[in-house]
Amino acid sequence: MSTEQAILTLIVTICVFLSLVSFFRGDPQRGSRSFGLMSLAAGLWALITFFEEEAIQFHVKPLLVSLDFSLALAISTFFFTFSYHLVFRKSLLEKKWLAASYVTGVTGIALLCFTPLVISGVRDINGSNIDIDTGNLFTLYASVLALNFLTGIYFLVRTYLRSKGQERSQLMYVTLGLFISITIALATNLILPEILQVSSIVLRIGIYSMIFFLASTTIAITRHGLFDIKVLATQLFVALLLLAMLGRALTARGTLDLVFELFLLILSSIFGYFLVKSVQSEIARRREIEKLAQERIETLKELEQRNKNLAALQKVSKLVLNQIEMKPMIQAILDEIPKQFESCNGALLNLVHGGHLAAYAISSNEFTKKIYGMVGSDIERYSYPIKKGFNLLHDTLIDKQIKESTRVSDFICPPIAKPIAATIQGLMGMKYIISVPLFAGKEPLGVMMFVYRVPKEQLLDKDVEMAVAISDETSLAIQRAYAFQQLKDANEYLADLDKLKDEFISIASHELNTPLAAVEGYLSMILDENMGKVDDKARMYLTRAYDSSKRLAELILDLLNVSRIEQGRVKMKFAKVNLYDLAESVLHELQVKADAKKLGLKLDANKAKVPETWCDPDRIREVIVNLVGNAIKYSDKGGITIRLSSEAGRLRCEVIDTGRGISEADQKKLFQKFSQVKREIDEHQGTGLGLYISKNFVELHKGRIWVESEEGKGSDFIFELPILAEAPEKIDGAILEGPLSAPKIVLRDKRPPAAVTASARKAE
Amino acid sequence: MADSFKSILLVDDDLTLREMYTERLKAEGFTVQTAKDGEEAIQMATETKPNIILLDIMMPKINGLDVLKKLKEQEETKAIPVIVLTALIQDREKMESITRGADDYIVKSEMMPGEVIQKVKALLNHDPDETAKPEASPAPQ
Repeated sequence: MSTEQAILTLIVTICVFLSLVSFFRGDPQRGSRSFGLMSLAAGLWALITFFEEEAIQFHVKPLLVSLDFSLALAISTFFFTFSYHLVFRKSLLEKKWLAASYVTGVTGIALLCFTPLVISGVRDINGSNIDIDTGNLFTLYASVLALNFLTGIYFLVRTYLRSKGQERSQLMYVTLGLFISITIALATNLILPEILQVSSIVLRIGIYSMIFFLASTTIAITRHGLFDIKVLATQLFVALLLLAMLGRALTARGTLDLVFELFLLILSSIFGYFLVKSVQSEIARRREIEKLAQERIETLKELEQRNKNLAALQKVSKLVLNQIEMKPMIQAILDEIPKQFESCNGALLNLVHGGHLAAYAISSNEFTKKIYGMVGSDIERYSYPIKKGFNLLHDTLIDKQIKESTRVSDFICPPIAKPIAATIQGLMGMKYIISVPLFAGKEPLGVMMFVYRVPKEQLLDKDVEMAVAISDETSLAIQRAYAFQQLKDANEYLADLDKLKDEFISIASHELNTPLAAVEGYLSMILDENMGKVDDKARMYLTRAYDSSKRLAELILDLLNVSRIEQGRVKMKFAKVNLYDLAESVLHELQVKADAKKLGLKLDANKAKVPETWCDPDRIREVIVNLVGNAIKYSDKGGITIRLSSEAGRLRCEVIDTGRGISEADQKKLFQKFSQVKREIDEHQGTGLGLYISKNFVELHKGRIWVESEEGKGSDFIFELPILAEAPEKIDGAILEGPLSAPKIVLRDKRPPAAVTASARKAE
Repeated sequence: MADSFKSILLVDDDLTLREMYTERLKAEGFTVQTAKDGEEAIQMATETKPNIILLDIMMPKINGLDVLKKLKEQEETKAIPVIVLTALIQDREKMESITRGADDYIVKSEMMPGEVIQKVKALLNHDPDETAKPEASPAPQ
């Protein structure tokens, strides 16, 4: 046998072997039957094509050529069905009409190979080589052949790219081997002979190229477990061994030998059985391990993904905590989503407002500007009453369910026009969209829509879980923001109210005082300055009117004070003050009144010994005025003394009079509103608010005011103030205005109108 | 004597008060002009250059304090002495800031027209007769 013939035998044997193994041991799910048939056809083709160029009887050769061509077609067909099977995981035969027409067509063309239409003639050249003339339908034949191969290659490559792990390696070798072999064979046996005369060696190359295919498949089998070759081999081996041993037993001479051989046979059988079993189990175990390894890799990947998701969720939570204002917070969350989740490249939040669902914000990305360009940047105006069937976003809210679709138009049309929605979809490469309802308990808050750039099949459950988790976070955040907003609104309302109150007090005092000033002014001009002529009676009446208007002025002042006290809106301005100065100025002011009643008025204090303190000089002055005024009012004889002293960090001011005194019962009512001790002779009714106001002023200084008195024996009104080394930072119940930095005392000599020489001075 | 030819610009949004003060001031021999809001006040002050201005603080539109500021900023008017008037007794603390620009102040409901005249005269004459009562000395600076 020549070398060539030896190689041929080898190729054919292996092809047959391969086809048998593939047919009986291969996975029919993966097209092993087609593969087997392809191998068989390949082997036959090699055999037949070989003999085309051999020195045999010529009249056989046309038949051989026809068979050559039809077998080549068969190879390509089985190749196609094999690769089809790999890609679509089902046999071509399942598509009955397609299969039927395909098979019919191919068979037809195969049969045509036996007619002159494909092969018009075969000529003998030199006894062994031949020359083939092709017929009119040769092109058709060649095209179908090429098409089968090309489609097959395409499918194979596609499957290869999609697979992973061991399967990938297997496919790589098989595909590669097939590709090389087919390409070479086509080139040398189909294309080249058409173009130019080739020698038989070239044609043989086509046959030999099958080695690539066989070799690579073998590698796939042995190294990557393409077929269960190990078990098969073991089984074959054991079978052969046992057969040989049986042969020996049968040809044993003598009973002893026979027994011995039989004994060996039995032993070998048992051993063989266990060997096969162990090989099988080892294969199984290895498969298990591989499967576990693969699973482990996938679990790890999943864990990694979950970790990433958790980190992303944490980041979103942080964003929520960092912001209280709703819009920036929501925008931060939406912007973060595409950064953290690769497959999700954007989100849209819609909020519920009084029965309407309105767009609120969208994630910022490279397309945001364009999108705003198409729909307008004030997306809040897309606000519509919530209605079932309006769009999927509304349905999400009504059904309280997550909705999904591959078209964003289902969610946003209406109100967006469909072409615009389609453009947006294309722009962002949306393949899958879901919308999640946001609820606070039973109350609907809004809807969050997530868009993904991968189709649903490629998304994992986790991705949707994440979307829901983020939606929940956002719900909480929205609730919080709403609560904060309400709080803010309430505070603003209260602040406005306060402002209104202050304005009211200002306006009231201004409005009340202005006409009063006019009344007093004219009366003063008549009575004090004797402008205009009045007779005595008129003068008396006018004087009474004048006194009334002065009382009115006092009342307004007191009422305003009380109003401020009640509202805690007394304005206090602290300064460093010596009470001596205040007392002295009161003395000046009220001297005339005291003189009018022939009462003595004196200040019992040593200025040097009176410590300075921080207080509101105007308020304290008013207190002293009130107390001294009362003393004058309720005394008919004797004198009034203002006494200043200090002890144990407290300043004490006493106003002592020799008036009628106050009974214990009356003492209890003294510092209340509108309290007045009843008198028979009312020369000058007070408002009944003086002591109430004084008490409040003293207590705002954290001081104390009280009275020591006995009916008939005069009274001693005392107030104490803590001596402060500096201005307090705040006063409960009052509005503290900045302390005067440079000590200033406003002294005003308030003289009764009769003293025309009064003037106010300020001491700086 | 010299008082009779002195002119006063009286600024107050209330008609009754304007009439009253005008009455009293005229009786004293002053020439009185009135303005009822800040704008008018500034305009008249700039044009007629009164010897003294009586300025109400609480006015609508332009606040009296702003008018005071303007008057003291303008070349033509900054030398004119200004007495501010307020109806609010509570505004004592405001007096502090006012006195930075104003030359004196009056609380309308406490001061009778007669006293207002005294203040005006004092300011116009820098009258040394207006002796201060023994004042309490200010707290050490």
